[in-house]
Amino acid sequence: MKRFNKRNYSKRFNFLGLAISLVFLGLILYSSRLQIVNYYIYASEVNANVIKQRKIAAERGNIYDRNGVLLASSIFQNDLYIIPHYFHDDINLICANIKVDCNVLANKLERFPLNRLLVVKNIGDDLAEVYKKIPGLFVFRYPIRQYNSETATTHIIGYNGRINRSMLNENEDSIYADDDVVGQAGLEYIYNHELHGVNGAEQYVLMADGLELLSPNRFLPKDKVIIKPEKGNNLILSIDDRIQLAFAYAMQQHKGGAVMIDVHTGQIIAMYSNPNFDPNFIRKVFGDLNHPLMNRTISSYAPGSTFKLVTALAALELGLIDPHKKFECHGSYSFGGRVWHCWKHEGHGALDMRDAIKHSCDIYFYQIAQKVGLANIIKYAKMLGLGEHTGIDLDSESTGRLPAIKGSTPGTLLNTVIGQGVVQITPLQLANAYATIVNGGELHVPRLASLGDKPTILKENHFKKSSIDFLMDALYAVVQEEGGTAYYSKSSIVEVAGKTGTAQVAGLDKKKKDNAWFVGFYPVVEPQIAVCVFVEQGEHGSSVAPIAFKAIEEYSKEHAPYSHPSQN
Amino acid sequence: MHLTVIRRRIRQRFRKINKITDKLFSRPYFKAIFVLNLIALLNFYSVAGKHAFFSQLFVFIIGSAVAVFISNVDYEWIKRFAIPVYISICGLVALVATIGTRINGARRWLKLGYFTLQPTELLKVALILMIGFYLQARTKPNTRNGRQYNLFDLIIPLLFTFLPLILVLKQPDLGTAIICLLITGSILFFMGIEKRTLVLIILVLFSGGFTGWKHLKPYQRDRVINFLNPDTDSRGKNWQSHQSIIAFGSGGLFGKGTKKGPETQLGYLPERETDFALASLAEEHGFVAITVVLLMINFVIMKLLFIARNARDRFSAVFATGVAFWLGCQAVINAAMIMGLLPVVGVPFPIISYGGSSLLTILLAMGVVANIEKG
Repeated sequence: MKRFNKRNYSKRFNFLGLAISLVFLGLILYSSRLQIVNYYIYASEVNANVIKQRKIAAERGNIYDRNGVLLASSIFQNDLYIIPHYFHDDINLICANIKVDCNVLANKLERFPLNRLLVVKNIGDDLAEVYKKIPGLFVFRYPIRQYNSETATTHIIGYNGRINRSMLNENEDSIYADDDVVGQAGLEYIYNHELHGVNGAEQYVLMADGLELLSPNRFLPKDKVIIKPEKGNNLILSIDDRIQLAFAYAMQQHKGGAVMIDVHTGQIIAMYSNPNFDPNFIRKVFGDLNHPLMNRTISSYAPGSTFKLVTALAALELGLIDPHKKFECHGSYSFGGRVWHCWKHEGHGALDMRDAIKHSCDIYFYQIAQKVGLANIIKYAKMLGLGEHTGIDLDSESTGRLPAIKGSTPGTLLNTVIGQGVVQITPLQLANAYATIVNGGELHVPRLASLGDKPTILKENHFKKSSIDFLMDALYAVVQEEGGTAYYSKSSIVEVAGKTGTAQVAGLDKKKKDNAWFVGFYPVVEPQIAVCVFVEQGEHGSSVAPIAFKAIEEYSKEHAPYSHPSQN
Repeated sequence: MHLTVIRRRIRQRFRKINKITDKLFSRPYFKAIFVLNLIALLNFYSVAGKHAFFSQLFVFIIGSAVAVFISNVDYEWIKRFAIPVYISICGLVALVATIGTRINGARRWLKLGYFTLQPTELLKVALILMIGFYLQARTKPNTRNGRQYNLFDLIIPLLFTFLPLILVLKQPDLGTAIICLLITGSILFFMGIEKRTLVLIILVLFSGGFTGWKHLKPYQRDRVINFLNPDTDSRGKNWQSHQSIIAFGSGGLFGKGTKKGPETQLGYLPERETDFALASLAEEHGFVAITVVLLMINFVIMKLLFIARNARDRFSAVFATGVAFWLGCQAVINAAMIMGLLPVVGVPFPIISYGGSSLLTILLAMGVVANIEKG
């Protein structure tokens, strides 16, 4: 057969073939532009689409007491999640092992097939290992804080919580992620930066339907974990947990606080506030009217007679009073148009300073106060760190309060001298003040978490040895000599010197008992520790002194006591 | 029976098979089709799962056998079959419009027991057959061969095209409609049209385009608008196109490897084995695979044009040209769509996109082409 019109069409075919080839060449060139020239742009866009990052929370550092007892540790919690879309097993098998209502769960699975649903929090490690392997089940493992519930360091350690916005925005190159758990109170808060650790990061693969790919190894480079989390530093406290427990045991029935402090270093050996709470279940105590979250050792109260020692110290140091000169106490004293009573209404008779401290005579101190003056009392109170921040490594410490000289009345002076009226100080300040007296005048910054560090000296006072010895002897008499205010509650095991205090509760509620104080030191010669116990409505100083004695007994098991020179 | 006899018979069988395969592969464009199929199967293995892989393999084997059969039948037979084939396939398209299976809102498939058939694919080749047949019949022995067609000559082939297209658009299947129009238009243009007629047609097309725009479905309009304004939110309606481009580009020179393309494997790329199969191929096998595919298709088209040039009569010329335009249009439109040069239209890439009907149609057409070439 004759070929059709070859001559006329062949040109057209050639042209067409060339045109089509050019089109395809263009397509190939354009695809080289996409795939070779701009490869990195598209590859990074795909990565941004697919590969996502999430944090691996760092473990918080542990907290130990001075003997290595674990007070707070980091443990892992496993939460079980389910994605119904991937889950093809029998749901009843899972409900059987955990406390979850199967009907509720099954209903949930039906309603949200593509969601990641929480089944139950905190399942055991062995159960987690099993469930991890079942398709559709996911175990989210993350560190949480575990507090040793056999210790009594709650108020010191504080507690953690979800980070807040202001903390997150505080520093630009923040180590914190927006869902981190950080310290909210106590040492957890103060040392959060050290305890927190550094969060890690891992990659995962997100599918177009919003679910995570189960076996992402094909799409990820080598290791999923791109930054390994670093555990926070451990914290070793100067706290001795045994003494802490002794305080806790002795204060079971009371509301109050107790502090034991090393007089040479300012290290805090025990610091206990009652009522206590379990920091593992902190939500339970919110709204409790006993205010268990309040740390009473750093809250301020009227110090009562324990404050008399400040006046005595000022009088001795300034040489204004001869300590052996006797003053008369008839049970009442007229001053400023008002009659002031001694706590002992029949009066103590004639007594010198040692006896006045021993019996805690108010009238004696009313009289010497006139000579010492309010300005000197306040000056010496400040030298002992009263009414000022101690600088302890805890948050929300109360400053306490001293009267202002300006605008003061003679009544202010008399109230101040017996630790009533305007004066308010914290148990910690008082313990630190007595520690300053017995160590010769070095006011330390009390520390909880710097065991082994050199003590930080806040104020360097040089008290005369004679006046220190005189006061220590007088405080010895308070507890150890018959007639002393704490004599009847003295310990048969340890020899302690100290001062009682009984402060009227502000307000005229007659039903309320007085607040009770005891502050002392141990051993009576070359003291090592100072102790302060405060009990709200404890009635009388002598009735709370045994709390201090119990703790000192515990302390003395480790440290040999010295006997008083007067007995030798 | 003696063992040697069996051996001899087996050898004879093999010889027969060898003859068939020899015939198949002696033609270089069959080799190109074969290579394209291998690439497509590799891609299906990676992205479409076992079922799709084997069903496509099955269609390939059956289709090749039918193609070999068609290439060996008498040439005149094929011409004789043009009208019945066209009518029956138009019937199938009409059937789809009434009882077809609906997938993703479009009614395009006919369920035939275990298989589903997409008659619109067959319609393309039937259309080419019909136009070829008509033009051949219009070529009177005494007319000048170079005579150009006027409007009256074009009315009937255009009718052949538009009648089934009404049904196609009803499915709706804009992609197929566009391809069919392009095939008819380019065949007619290529075979020669008077200048007056050409101007008229262009005017009609413009006004038709204007009214057609008014009748587009909202999603179809969105695609066009998104194409013209590509900076819209990539999570929005332009999402498909955006995913396609980044999947394509991120393949690089050699691709990420089988089953290793995240866009493809994780569901970001839509229609990864059908309309966007070329993008998944690009992501997993890179620039190299894309170049091979485009060159192969280009080669097949060139070969078809040469066959058309050397054809024995107008029917052959029209058929080969039609098939060349058909494959070329689909390949270029699909590739351009995947690279973001055109809006998203449902036009599959020949052979590379999954679809039994489409592959079968191409293989049948190749059988006819081989038959034409022989003569």
